[in-house]
Formats: sequence, C-alpha cells, structure tokens
Amino acid sequence: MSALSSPDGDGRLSRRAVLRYAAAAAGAMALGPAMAACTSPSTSSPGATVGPDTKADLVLTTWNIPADLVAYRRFAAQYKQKHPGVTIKVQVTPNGDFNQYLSTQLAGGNAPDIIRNTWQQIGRWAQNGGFIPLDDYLAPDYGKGFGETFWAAAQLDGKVHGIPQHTDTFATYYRTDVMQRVGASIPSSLDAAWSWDDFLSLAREVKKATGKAAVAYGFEGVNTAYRWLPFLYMHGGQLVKDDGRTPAIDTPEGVEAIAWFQQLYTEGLIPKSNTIKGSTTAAVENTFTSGQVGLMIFGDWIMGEVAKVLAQDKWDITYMPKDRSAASDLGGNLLSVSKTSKNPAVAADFIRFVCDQANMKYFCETDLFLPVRTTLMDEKLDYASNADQMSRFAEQAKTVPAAMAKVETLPNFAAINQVLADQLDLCFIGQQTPKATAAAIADGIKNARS
Amino acid sequence: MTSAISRERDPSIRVEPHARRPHRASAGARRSRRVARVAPWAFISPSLVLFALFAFAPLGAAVVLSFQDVQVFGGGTWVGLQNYETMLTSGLFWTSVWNTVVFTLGTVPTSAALGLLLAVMLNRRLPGRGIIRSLYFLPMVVSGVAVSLVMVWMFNSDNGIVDAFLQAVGLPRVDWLSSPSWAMVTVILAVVWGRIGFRMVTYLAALQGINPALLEAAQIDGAGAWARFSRITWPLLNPTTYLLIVLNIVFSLQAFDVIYVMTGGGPGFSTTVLIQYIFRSAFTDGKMGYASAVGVFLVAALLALTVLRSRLSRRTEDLT
Amino acid sequence: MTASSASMRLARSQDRARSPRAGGLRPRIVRRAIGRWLVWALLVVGALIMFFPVYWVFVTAISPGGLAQGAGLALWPSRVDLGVFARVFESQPIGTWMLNSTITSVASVVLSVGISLLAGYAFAKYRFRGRDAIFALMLLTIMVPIQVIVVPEFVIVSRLGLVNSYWSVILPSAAQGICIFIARQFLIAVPDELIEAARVDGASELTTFLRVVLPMSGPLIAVLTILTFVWRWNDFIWPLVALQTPDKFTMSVGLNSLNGAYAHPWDQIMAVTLLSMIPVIIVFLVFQRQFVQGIAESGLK
Repeated sequence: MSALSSPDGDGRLSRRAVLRYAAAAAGAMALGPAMAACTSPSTSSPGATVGPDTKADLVLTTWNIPADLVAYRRFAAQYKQKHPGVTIKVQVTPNGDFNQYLSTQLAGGNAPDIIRNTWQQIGRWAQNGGFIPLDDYLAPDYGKGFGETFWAAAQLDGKVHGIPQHTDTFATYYRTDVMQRVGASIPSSLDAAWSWDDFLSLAREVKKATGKAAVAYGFEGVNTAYRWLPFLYMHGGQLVKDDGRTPAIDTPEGVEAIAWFQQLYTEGLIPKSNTIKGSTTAAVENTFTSGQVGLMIFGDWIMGEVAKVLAQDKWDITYMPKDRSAASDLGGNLLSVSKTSKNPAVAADFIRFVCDQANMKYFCETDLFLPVRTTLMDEKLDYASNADQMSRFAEQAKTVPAAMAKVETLPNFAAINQVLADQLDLCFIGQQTPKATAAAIADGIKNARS
Repeated sequence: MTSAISRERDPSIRVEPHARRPHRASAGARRSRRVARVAPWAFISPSLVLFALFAFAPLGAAVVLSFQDVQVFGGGTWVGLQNYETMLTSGLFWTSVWNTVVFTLGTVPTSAALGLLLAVMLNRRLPGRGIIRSLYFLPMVVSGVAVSLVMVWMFNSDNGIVDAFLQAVGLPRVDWLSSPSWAMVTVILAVVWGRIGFRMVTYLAALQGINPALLEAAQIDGAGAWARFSRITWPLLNPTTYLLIVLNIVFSLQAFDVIYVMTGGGPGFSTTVLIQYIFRSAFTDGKMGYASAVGVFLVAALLALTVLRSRLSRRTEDLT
Repeated sequence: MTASSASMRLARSQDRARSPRAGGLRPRIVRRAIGRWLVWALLVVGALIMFFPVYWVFVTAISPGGLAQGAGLALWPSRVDLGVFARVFESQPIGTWMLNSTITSVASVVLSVGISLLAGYAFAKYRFRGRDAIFALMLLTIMVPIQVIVVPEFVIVSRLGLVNSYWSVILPSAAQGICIFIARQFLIAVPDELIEAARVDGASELTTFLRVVLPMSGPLIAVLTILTFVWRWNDFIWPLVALQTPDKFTMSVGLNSLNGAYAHPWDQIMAVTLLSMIPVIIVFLVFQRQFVQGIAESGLK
C-alpha cells in the first residue's frame, strides 16, 4: 500500500509515473481521447501583466508544516491587499507521495496552480511538461539575484521551471559532553573543518567514549540515498559527467569515496540501524539525542526536533568534514507553476512576490530555512531561534557542489537514486566491494530513465 | 478457491432449488422459470458492473501493458514478449521470487498454527478470556502503515525497545532490521503479529462448531487429549485451515506496506519481494510495462497454485 | 467480550466427562489445575506481547519529540507531554479527516455488503449459464495487487468524472471478490426448503431474498462489515490517488501528509495513528459477538 513512509518528498508511487502510464493505459483501454483532453497543455500568455484589477482564484500546495501554512497564508493576504481580485488558497500536499499526488492532479486537469517541490523532484516535472517554463513571466535578468547553483538547478534546457524559495543543507551536529570527553577541538570556520582523516580518528575516539557508535548519518530511507553524494564530490569524484548522461563514478576517486564511507559502517562508527534503506528520521535523531553517538551529520530542518529533547548546552553545530574540497547536501524547495493552471501569469507573479528579498527573508527567519538570494546569503539573518547554528548551516550551504546539484535535478534522477540506494546499501552492509559497487552504479545509471 | 467451486459441483452437497421444482406446463410455472432465469442475473448485476469497471477492465489493461514498452506521456509501443524475457533473465526478479517464497512460507503456516494454538487454548473457561481474546484481535484493526511505523521503531537495532529488553534479561542483542539474515525474520514477525487475531477468531469459531458429543465419546473410549485433537478436531478443521491458508498466501504475496516502511526492501535486497519489485519497477524505475508483466506473472502464479491445490485434493479424494 | 455459549457447553461437557473418574485421582486434578493455570499464564503473556506495539504507539505519542526510547530499557518516558493530542487537533483538520474516512468507509461497507449478499445469494442458490466462470473471475480479482492496476483504474475513475469525489473511493473498493466468496459460502447453508416455501407462497425472487434470506444473514453481515470496515478505514494507496484536496483527505492520507522530509513531528504522527485506530476498535467491539458467530456459520468454518 503505502508509499507513505517515504521520508523525502520524492515519493515512490510517483504521481508523475501514474500520470505517464495513465496515458498508455488509456490507450490500452481505448480511452485515449479522454486522457488527451486531460493532459492538453495550457497555453501561456506571454508578457501578460498583473494589475490591481486582475481577477484570479489560485491554489498553492505545500508540505504539511503548520508554521509554513501560516506564512503562505500571510503572503496570500498581503498579495490580496495589492491585488484585491486575486485569492490564493493554501493547500496541503501529502508529501510522502508528492509525485503520485501531483500526476493524478495533473491527469484530472485541476492540479494546484503553484506547487512547492524539491530539487530532486523538479527535473522530472520540467521534462514531462507538468511544470511550465516561467521565462515569459520573468525579467531577463531576474535570476541574477539568486545563488548561481540554485538558479542553474531550477532550469532544464535553459528554461526556468521553478523559482528557488529556500535551501537546506547538512552540517555536523555534535554533543558537547562527548566532545569534551574525547578532547576534540571543534572547527570554528569552514576552512578549519575536519579532514576525512581527522574525522575518522575522531569518530574512533567517540565510539570508545559512547561505548556504542560514533556518528549518525541523515539517511531517511531509499529515497534519500543521494545524501551520500557530497562525499563523492568532496573527494573530487563525479556521479555523471557534465553531459548529464555518461556515468563517471567508476573511477579511483569514486571507489575511494565509497570505500571511505563503507569504512564508517564496517568499523561500527555509523550505527548498524542507520542503513540507507532502513533508516527512519526519528531513529537516526534518537541515536544522537540518547547519546549513542556523539556526532550526527544531518540537515538544519531537524534542529527543532533535537531541541525539543536535548537542552541547548548539550549540543551544537559545526561544519561537514571535508576532503579535497568541502561539500554538502542539496536540500530546499522551489515554487513552480503547473501546466493546468488557468492563470499562469498571476501564479508566476505571486511566486515572484513570495520569493522577493523581503518575503524570502521573512520566510527563512520565521520558519528556519536558508535563503537562496545572494544578498541574503551573505547577510546574518535574524532567525527566530538557533541563529548561531543557522548561520553555520548557511555557510555550509555555499559548499553545495554545482555539478552535484546538476545531477540531482536530472529528469531521471529518481531512477538514478534507486540505483544508488540498491548498490550503496549492499556495499555498506558489507555484501559488495567498493569497486564492484562503483561499477554497478555506473551500469545502473546507463539504464535509468525518467 | 477453485475447490470451493468444484465442491459445489459435487451432487452430494445440495440440490439446486429450481431443479427440484415440479415442472408443470402451466403459464405460472413458465413465468416463474423465466423469472428464475433472470433473477440471478439481476442479483449479480450490481457486482458485475462494479467488477467490470474497477477490476476486470484494469486487469485487462495491465495484461495489455505487459506486452508494451511504456514511454512518458506517449503511450506504449508493442514489444511482444520482451518484458517477460527481461523478467526471466533478471537476477533481481529471481531474488524477489525467492524472497517471496521465504516470506510466504514464514508467514502463512506460522500465523495459522499460532492462531490454532491460541484458539485451542482459549476454547475453555478462563478468567478474563474476553479481554485476552480482544488483545489478540486488536492488531488486526491497526493499519499496516501504523504497524510498520511503530515496529520499525521497536526493532531498531541501536535504540529499539526489543533489544533493550533482550539485553536487560541477559540475552544477546539482535540486528533485527540491519542484518540481511534477520530482516526477513523481523518483517515476518510484524506480519504474523497483525494476522494472528483473525486466524484465532476463525479457528475459535470453528472449534465451537464441533459437536462436543464427538469428543466426549472419544474420551470415554479412552482417547487422550492429543489423540482427540489429531483424530477428531484437526480433520474437522480442515476446511477452515484450507481457506485460511489460501487467503494467507494471497495476502502474503500482496503484503506491501510492512516491508516498504520497515526495510524498504533492504538491507541490500534481502526483503525485496515481488510486490516490492513491481512497485519500484513501475514507479521509481519508470517501467510500467515491465512491472505489469511481473504483476501478470504473480497473478498467474497464484492462480496456478490454487488450481494445482484443488486438483491434488480432488485426486486424493478420489483415491480414498 | 463474549464467552460464547458453545464453548461453555463444550467446557461443561468436558467437566462432566471427567467427573465420574475423578474420584480417586487427586494428583491428576491438581496436575490439570496447574496445567490450566500455566495455559492461562502463557495466554496472558502472549496477550501482553500482542498489545505492546499499540501501547508503544501511545508512549511515543506522549513523549516530547516522540523520542520515547533512549539507550536503556524504559517502558515509560522520562517526560510526559499529553498536550500532543490538543496540538494535532489544533494544527491538523483531524475532524475533517475522521469525517471523510467515516463517510467513505461506511458507504463502501454498506455498498459492498449489499452487493456481495445479492451476488453471493445468486451464486449459492441459482444455476445459470456462466455462473462458475463469473464466480471464478471475481475470485481471481482477489489475487490482483493494487500496484498492478492502480494506473488503469485511475484512468477509468477520471473518465467517469469521479476524481476527488467520495464516489471515487467508495465505488472501486466496493467490488470485493473476497466478500462475495464469504457471502456465497454462508448462504449455501440456508435451507432450500425455506426458499421453496416462500416461492410456493407466491413471493417474488427479491421478496424471498429480503424476507427469508436477509433475516438469517445477521452474522454474515457482521463478518463482512468488520472485515471491510477495517480494510476501508486503513486503505491508503487508492484514496491517495483518487482524493486530491485536503478537505477530502481520509485519516490514512492525512496521516501521510504529516510524514515527510520537512515535516516529521514524530509525536504527532503517533498521536494521529492512535486516534485513527479508535473508530475501528469501536466497530469491532459493537460487532464482535455477531462476528464470531458469523465466522462459525459462514464458509470460513
């Protein structure tokens, strides 16, 4: 039954897939015309402007995070003050199954106008036409205000398919008590981040100190296998060549990166239960909050949950370990316009409003996200809580490799991610050598389709 | 299930109502024969309409898809038997078949046996019997997803309560979900937990339908408890057992949520069963035609199993 | 809970059978008593194990952050936060989800019980061309996993214009081969004489069904109701596909919207899980007496 558990937005029984096959199935049942009607592309009206007397009823769908719902409703109300004829209703996405949800809605011809989605999701939808290109509604230099990596990742074939709203990334959580016990010095800047060797020997000490394990990693099930990729790119490796097709992991760098990470498992530094396929958010957090590990490499968005359980003086945040270069996970969301939107111009205008300087700042500060506009990225934001920790995540976010971002936004990334999950899981539980794993991943990528 | 039909064909079971109706050539009788011909169709028509729309048609479409390569938005292209060929040569497919067999053998006999054991134990006056029975039944009402969410938490090999308990009583910890060899055991445990209740209630009902006089007579003849069970009770429970096993096999082959949530098919491929494989082929790997082929294989395998079972049982009946 | 009369009878008769010989065999009685208590103790321990996961849902719900378990063995959280139930009601439209689940489950149960009784009756008591083939086809659908047919099924539902209506969930899930099978097994046991008698009295086929067959089908209805209600209430994949807007979400789809990359308040998920079980438990408690009887009398025996 359920694709429920998929902890990432990148749901398994993807609606995109449902939609795609719906067309084929319809053909199989001689129901073709109906589906064709459902999926006919809406025509955009280039250059349409939104004035004070524009009338439109739009629907925005977002993850079920209460604070975010409040924020979006606030934006909608503010927008209505400027455009009294425009009403924007905020809805909830059953986010574990985002793709499945969305493709059904598109097939039904009444998908929400504005859809909050992730970097790992957008490629599929941009390619299959679920999200429309927004270039017609944006000034030619609109993208200049955004971090380069993010803006590039929002595009497919040179067309913008979503406007970045915020990002998230990984850094290292540490327990102050454990770090004291092992006498570790905490990196105070990105440059001083632990090297792989430092990190490995620290982890060994931490394991001795906790008597259990050393470091929890932010895997949350099959859909999050890609979160290993920063370690590949840190080591100078690549998953796919710049052409976006040719596998590039079966190289010395690739094999070494896999081997290094496998070592964390084989030495028992990463807890046994923390496998790619078997990990759940709560269990990973819990190994940290209950002191079974002293370190946890995970995203900023779980800070609230950690803070609920662990007093603020018991833990803190430092940078990801680094190797030849620093790198971290690409998290965060974009806002896109669905092809069934009847008012794409208004929808695009509202997205611009939400992602403008002031509103992005407000959204990030209130709901604890990282900004994607360069001016805000350089600014120290006035976060509602955990401001120091957020600033470290913000610094770390700049290390997300552009090449990695490009791979994760490929239209066939869901299938690539499945390959990563299968092969890395086998490797990390000790059933496959790093060499064979790299070869198998390369092989799988060749057959991955969108 | 097919045997249920064949049982029906057995003339000794019952006589069809209209067959015993006297055939008089009156107008009224002709009318009533006509009514009797139309009536069953009227009775099954609501079901027939819903089945045709929501079961037969989609299944037919799946069969058609299984001969196609399905592209994005573009409909399918006919590829003949290629999906089936790919399937038969895929290593992961055979791994899934094997895992499915293990999972089915692990869940079906165990839940039936435990259900029977509980039913026998509960089939007597005991303090708090009602409450005990309800507690065994309770898991049935918990959704598969909810079961899995809590089980994955309980069986966590680093911070799960199950290992904490084992350790507290001096037993070694077990890597329930993180070792390839134990993961299958763990998902089987979770599934059996959810199923015992219904098996128990079903057997309990069946036990209570057994005429006590039979057992009394056997006891007076000096039959011990085991003899009474094996010679009288067990044979009388045969139809129940058969039905439970057939249903359980079907449910086991379709068990999706528990594995999906608890292990995601891992570690490695150790808990990837066929239904899991179908799901990922279709919706993650984007190969709906191929997934349909595997689905058709699964349905065909189930069907073959049922038919085979009823053939075999009919033959044994003929021999005796 | 019911101590069914049949088992009481059985137990009494066992006592009776035992009593004449019991006179000179005290140790055997003692052994029996010990055995009986041993069985009881085993059953209780087993019952506690069975209950534990449900208890653990509760404990996880009331633990701050939902992190009930530390490294050691603790059966009760160090801090208790009962506010979680108020919080989920405040932040999520639990009431709407409950209502939607209730509407779709009840309607689907009524429909599938109704049509299964009719069809089961036809398969049990009539002989007509194609009967066995149709019956076999319907049974075949039991074996078809939803993942195999979800896409074609969605095409049909959207073609019928049902997407995002309650009907999109109610109608497809009403076609249950297993219900028709159970109904047929049960109704075979209805004596033909009664049906014949009604016909001789001039009752129409439908009246015969309504006046003779239906009144005898109480236990069957209980079995089908409990089974289908549990299934429909916990259904997930299909409602997720068919229902689009949050005002139509069922409990299981709503529960899923809480579980994702950016929203995983574990305590709230468990609180909603717990709340979602309550209606099913109520249905079971209401129907369980008939349920056991129904199983005993239907083909499940």
